[in-house]
Amino acid sequence: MSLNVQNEKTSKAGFFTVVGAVFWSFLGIRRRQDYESDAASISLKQVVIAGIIGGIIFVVGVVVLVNVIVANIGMAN
Amino acid sequence: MNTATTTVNGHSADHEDHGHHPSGLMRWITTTNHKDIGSMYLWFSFAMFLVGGCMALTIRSELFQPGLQLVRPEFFNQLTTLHGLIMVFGAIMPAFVGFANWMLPLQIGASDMAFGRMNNLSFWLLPPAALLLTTSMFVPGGAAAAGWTLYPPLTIQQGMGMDMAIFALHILGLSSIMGSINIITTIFNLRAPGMTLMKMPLFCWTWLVTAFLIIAVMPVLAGAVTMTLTDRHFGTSFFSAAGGGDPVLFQHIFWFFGHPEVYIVIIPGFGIVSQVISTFSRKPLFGYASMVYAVAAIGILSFTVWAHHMYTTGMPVTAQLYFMYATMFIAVPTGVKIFNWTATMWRGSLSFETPMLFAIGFIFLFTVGGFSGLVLAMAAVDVQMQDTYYVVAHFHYTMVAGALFSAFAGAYYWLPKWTGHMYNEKLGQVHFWLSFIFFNMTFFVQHFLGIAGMPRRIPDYALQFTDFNQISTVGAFGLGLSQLLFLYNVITCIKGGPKAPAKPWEGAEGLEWDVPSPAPYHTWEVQPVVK
Ligand code: HEM
Ligand SMILES: [Cu+2]
Repeated sequence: MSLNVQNEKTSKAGFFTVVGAVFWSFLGIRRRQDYESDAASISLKQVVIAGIIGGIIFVVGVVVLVNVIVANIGMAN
Repeated sequence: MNTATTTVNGHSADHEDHGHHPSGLMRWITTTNHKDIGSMYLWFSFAMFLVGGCMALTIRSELFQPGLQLVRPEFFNQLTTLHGLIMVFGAIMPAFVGFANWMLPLQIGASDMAFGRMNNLSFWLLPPAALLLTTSMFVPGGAAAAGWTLYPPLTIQQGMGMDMAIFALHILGLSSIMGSINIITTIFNLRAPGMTLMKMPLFCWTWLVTAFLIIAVMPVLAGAVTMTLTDRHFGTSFFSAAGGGDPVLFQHIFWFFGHPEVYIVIIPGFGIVSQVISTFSRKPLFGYASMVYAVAAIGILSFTVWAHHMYTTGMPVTAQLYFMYATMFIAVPTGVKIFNWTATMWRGSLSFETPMLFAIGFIFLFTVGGFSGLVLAMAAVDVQMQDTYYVVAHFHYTMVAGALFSAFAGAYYWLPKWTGHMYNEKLGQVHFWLSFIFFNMTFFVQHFLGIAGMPRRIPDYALQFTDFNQISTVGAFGLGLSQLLFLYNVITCIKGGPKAPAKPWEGAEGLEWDVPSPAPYHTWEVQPVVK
């Protein structure tokens, strides 16, 4: 099922389109034009999977960040 | 949004319908009609709101003075526990399910919810749960008294009131899961032709995300309380250090449910506020797409921050920093929404009917709650504030001024559609201003109490806290009594009042305004075509 059910059928969205959409969603910002093309091309399944992967990347990213910080203040525990 | 077939459907169906419908009490017990069920949800949640409110007023009365005056400490703890459980699971969540039942089918052009009988069951599970919670006060040992967060080891030690609370939570969880399955199925399968997902009103979107959150986390809560139950009666030691278990494990499980839960409570409110702000600004919502994106993102990210409730349980510095950064990051998409609402109002032609007042009050006060949340998110600060009144102030700004105010905004907004009459506008505005003033009087001072170190969930306090507590108690009574104005306004609106047109609000958009007011018993039997 595509977000835009009427246009239906095969999703034409490439990898980077989906990544971009998820990235902007985490900030909560999206240009109207961009979302309109998202809506027409990205399928629901893609969004959900990309969202979950994005969530995992977010967690790993923050974990790496705090480990770097803690390592550099000489307080590693 | 245009509808090609704006046939005033419903009326004809209404007539043939009268014949084979049970009437009286049986109508309500057997109904599968989304409007009947929606109304029952709303009345149920309002009744629970009053019950929980009376408990709050007893708590505040006891806290009017230092020392113990009215209630025994054990009973005080039962009151704080039941107040929390009843307000979260009995008042706020069912209120939004009530809105969903009434409005989702109308908004997406569906004739009813997808699973009528399951819908009926979802509702009728609620009264038994409410009975379990309220009557548990009268069993030996009294009600559960460990706080709504139900931390062991207290929960392992208490009497049968605890078992009743556990059973009630199981039932309530079942009910909300079934409600969510219904909502998701309805949105995915019953939308009118042309009503694409990205054309749906924001209330539908926010409920879609909320429903997924509910399905994801209610089983987690059920697991936590079931483990408590087996620890209590069946010899397990999940949470008991004596048997090799770990009480902190409970906190992890609970808050893995608990943080998404606070978003479950607020996200449908975001949807209502978005629609109300846009209607009374007579402008389309600024950044509809951003809102949808942000709500979906919040849904996912809300699973990654739970231990900000647990900074004081002892965790490595890296973990504290992780939860601190993650929590602050999640505030970004939340903050963006505040900007979107403000930008929607910018240069709009605003008018300030009651729904709009509650929506603006929401934006204003929810922002305060968001900021106190950010303060608490800082691990170093939270170590001081944990379990003080500062936390109580924070979550009442988000849950009362957030969730409850948005529910009031929605109720006034759609009352004309539900009843076919206009409510009393003056009285509505008085209700808003009294609620706004007394709310702040009750809860703003609790920030000061918390910073000064007054612990929560304790019936007595040190002398120096007296003044702020007295202000808070007076405010609480004002706030509680003001809600009777709402009840009066709703009842008079049902009974009569100026006739409401199909679309009482000039700037309103959406399919729900294409059906007459009051919405007939059956609507959209012929689905509209959305262009
Ligand atoms: C900007 C967003 C938010 C942030 C950064 C935030 C942060 C926090 C933190 C760090 C705590 C733990 C305080 C402690 O126990 O020491 C907390 C508690 C709480 N928050 Fe929030 N919060 C936010 C939004 C919300 C919302 C939207 C709600 C509900 C609608 C909410 C409801 C609660 C509740 C109920 C508690 C207390 C639970 C308890 O211990 O009984 N918060 N919040
Ligand atoms: Cu939280």
